Amino acid sequence: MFDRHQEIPLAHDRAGRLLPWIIALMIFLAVLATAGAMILLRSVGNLTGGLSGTMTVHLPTGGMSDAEADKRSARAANVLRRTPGVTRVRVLGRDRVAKLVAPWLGEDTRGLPLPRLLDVSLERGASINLGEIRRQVRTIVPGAAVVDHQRFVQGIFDLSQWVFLCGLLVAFVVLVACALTIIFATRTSLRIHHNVTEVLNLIGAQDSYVAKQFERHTFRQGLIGGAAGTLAAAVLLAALSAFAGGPMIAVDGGLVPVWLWVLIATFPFLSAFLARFTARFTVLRTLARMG
Amino acid sequence: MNSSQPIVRFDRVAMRYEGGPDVLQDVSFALPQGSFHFLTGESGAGKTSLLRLIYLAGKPSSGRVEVFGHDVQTLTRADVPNIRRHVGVVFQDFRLLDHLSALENVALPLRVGGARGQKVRQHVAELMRWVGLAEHMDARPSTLSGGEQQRVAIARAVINRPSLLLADEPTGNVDDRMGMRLLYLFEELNRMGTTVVIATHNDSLVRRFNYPQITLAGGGLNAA
Repeated sequence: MFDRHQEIPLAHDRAGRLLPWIIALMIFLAVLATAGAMILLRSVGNLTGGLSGTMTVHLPTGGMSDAEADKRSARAANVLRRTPGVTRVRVLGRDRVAKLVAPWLGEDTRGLPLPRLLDVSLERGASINLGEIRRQVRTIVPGAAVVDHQRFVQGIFDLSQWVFLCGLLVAFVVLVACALTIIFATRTSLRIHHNVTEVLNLIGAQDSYVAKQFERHTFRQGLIGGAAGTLAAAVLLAALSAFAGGPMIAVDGGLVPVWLWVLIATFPFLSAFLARFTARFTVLRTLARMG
Repeated sequence: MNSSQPIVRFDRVAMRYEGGPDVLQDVSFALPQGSFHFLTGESGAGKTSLLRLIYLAGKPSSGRVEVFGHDVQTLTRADVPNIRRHVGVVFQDFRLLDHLSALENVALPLRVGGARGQKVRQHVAELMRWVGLAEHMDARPSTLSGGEQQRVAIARAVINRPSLLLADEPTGNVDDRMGMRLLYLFEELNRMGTTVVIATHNDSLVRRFNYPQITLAGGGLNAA
């Protein structure tokens, strides 16, 4: 008991009693912002991964017989197969296209001028001259359209990266707000316990001795508040992971992967060390200013 | 520090609190190592202010104060604690920490100096028995009488055998018998090499122990 005693009675400090709750709230928000940003980035990556590296060529068949349309489709596919960067070309004939449009046009599409489709796979990172492909295909099938999925996917991916950065920025701002709250609480405690710190200084205590007592106390508050906030956020994320559905769910390992759980588990310690070093910095700076 | 050098030296020192008049004027004296002095003077003569300058709680507005050979004007905040650890102070208002027990209050200078463990407790308990507080070691200061609090404050000031002991009215709240006993304690420390300065109103004590006096009157010094 004798050695564990704190000379500054911070544990009985009414001003500091709310601090763990405030830290818990801040860490709850920081965990959600960080996890949200990472889940979004990962989900968009999974969602668009299947579309990147592909393009689709639409071959209109108006005024052609089926045989003619198939013949021209095969020629266009051969042209594409010879194009550098193209790894695979799959021709979707009339029957396959009819199945694709059946939900909208019904089963009986006889007499309708259904286009032929070419599903083209590209090498990763290949530089494809779309204009040249379009020109070559149109010499075979006038009016052919080339749809590049890469550009669409890249747009979504760029947007998701910005949202990811915004999420991290929000987490950072929340942690800064948490640090400012700790600074304010520490200064208030210093004012409340001014008489005690003065006596300690008068009997030869270094400022670092006084700071250490604040550090220990605030570290404990940061750990408790951080653990509570992280636990609440983890419960929420686990519930979302269990109940959420649709394309935003990551295809491998669920909504929250293991590595993200590990990252989330570090937040109580991040909070505790943030609290500790903020308190130390505040005490040393405030005492130095007193002169 | 050279052993022939005074432990405290004042040279034409003046001091004033912010915006106020001088509370000390043109004060010069030196305290040799191992000396014993009474600091006397009427209330408001500047005794407490002079002691504050010695334990580095204030700076002179003019003149030079040296403590353990250090000019107090040039000391940085980081230098001060190392000097204060060699100075024991009995404050007039005791400055005890009420959330700690009497024993923990007395142990503070040792703890601040880094001492820990059972030996600290034994050492502190021994001194508390000596000042007649064996029954009150675990008591909070607010539950003790004025005299008992004063003895806790004295025990705290002497626990780490300081090189310099400053006491501001250390016998003001105790009966004559305890006052004498405390003065014998200070004499014992002085014999072991501690330089002692006692600010007091108690003329009978000053006459009885017959040590040199530094007498302040109206902020200035009257040599005695």
